[in-house]
Amino acid sequence: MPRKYVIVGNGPAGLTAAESIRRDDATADIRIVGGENHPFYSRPGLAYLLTGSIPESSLFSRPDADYRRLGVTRTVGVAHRIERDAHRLVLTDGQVLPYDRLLLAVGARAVRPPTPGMELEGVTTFDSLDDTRAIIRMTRSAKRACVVGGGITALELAEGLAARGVETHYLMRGDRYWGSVLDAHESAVVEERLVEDGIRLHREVEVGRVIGHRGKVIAVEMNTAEQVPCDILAVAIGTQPRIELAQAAGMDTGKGIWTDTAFNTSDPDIFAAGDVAEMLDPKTGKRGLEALWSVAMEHGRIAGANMAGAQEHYRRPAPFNVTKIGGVTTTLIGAVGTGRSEADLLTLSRGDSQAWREQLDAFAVVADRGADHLRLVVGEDRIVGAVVMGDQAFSRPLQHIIRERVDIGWVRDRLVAGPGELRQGLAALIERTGSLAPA
Amino acid sequence: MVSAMIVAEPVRCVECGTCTYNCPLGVDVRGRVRQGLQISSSGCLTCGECVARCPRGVLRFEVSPVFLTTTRGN
Repeated sequence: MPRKYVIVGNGPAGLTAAESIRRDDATADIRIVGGENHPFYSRPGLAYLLTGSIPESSLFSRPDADYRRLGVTRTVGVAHRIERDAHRLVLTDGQVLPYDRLLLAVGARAVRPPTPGMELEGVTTFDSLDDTRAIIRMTRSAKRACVVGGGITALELAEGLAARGVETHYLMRGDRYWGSVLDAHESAVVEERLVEDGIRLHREVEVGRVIGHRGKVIAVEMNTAEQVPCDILAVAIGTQPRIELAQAAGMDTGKGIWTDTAFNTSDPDIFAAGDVAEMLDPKTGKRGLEALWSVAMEHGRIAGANMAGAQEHYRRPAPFNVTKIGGVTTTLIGAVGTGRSEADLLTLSRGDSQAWREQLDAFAVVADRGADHLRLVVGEDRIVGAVVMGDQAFSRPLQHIIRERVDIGWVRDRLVAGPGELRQGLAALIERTGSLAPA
Repeated sequence: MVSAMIVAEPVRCVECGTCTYNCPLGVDVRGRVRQGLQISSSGCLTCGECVARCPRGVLRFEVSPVFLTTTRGN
């Protein structure tokens, strides 16, 4: 009898797990259950759909033919209940799916603040293709939009709405953009670009209530009592792992579903991976969440292999993300946190990592050249984090140097001597480590 | 002779399809990156549209080994 694998979640962790299982188990019966009535799509790509840079069809990177080739059945449905003793997953439409191994790769959902008026028409999150379609539809008649939240998602919303000709107001609780991760200069670079795009920034304000008329949003009232009339209120204050299914089944959960580094949960036949997995780091004894595409793929690869019988462990590398923020290509690697508290995010946002906020025994050195900006967070004998904005020449080697914990003892004095020496010192470090770097 | 080729770093890719959408030859750049196939063997003209437009810095130019050999030979 072929072994039955059921994967809940048709995102990068789920699909990569299916590929991994198929590699190791040629006869496996593999089924992916996804709640969205779309083929697999690039969720990070929604930002570029919103700005109009790509058509919707570009997002579908894995057509159904790929599933057929892989021998994976895709079911559109919503998981309702796990019957752990009977090894069965029950969907809301009544379908019952027996499993030998179950993977929960159900991701996270955008949260809405408990502010009055959040249920009004015109209030939206930016979480899915359906959300994006709805926002694009609204921009056809909307004159003005407000964006609240932080991290990359809020910025993508503001830029996307402005690109579609909607007068966009970005309401920040903090005094500057993403102050927990970016330094003052980096925030200023982003804010300058937003202003150039015509986006109006409001600092140190909170949404007091959302005002509606006939069920539709017409304005946002801030705690200053000032009102901003708007037809769209887009909210990006963070995401929350979808733990309900696991919780109801009596599995161990916290902010996410608890796993070890092999993606085992508290049930030996159920695994969890991707944004929903809250993994225990055996080195620090702490649990952590990530909301990054590349991390979800790696989770899925290892979880799938382990479901098929392997014994692989996830080695948590320094997380990185490269994306355009405020139109400036920016790479964040490792621990770059500024130590400031989180102003605009309640939880982790998409494209985000808790690890960026880690405060290690290190200090920051900065070098700016025109629009290009480089910040290194330098520890005792290694670089623990970096922010590279603009010219990306250093980003790839830095990714390697930080992830591999390359020793910098011999060049540390130059790196911390000042902005003039930083780039040269780094170039020397890269040259020496060049032979170690992957091609 | 083509002096440069486009190489990819798949771990940065989020499969948004911007590269494929903008390729004037219709090369499925995204698919090749994912499958680890060389872009240079796809009939790529190295026009650089995909390199310039990729929002994640996945693609870059590298001097073609063929060119390097030729240069050394000369």
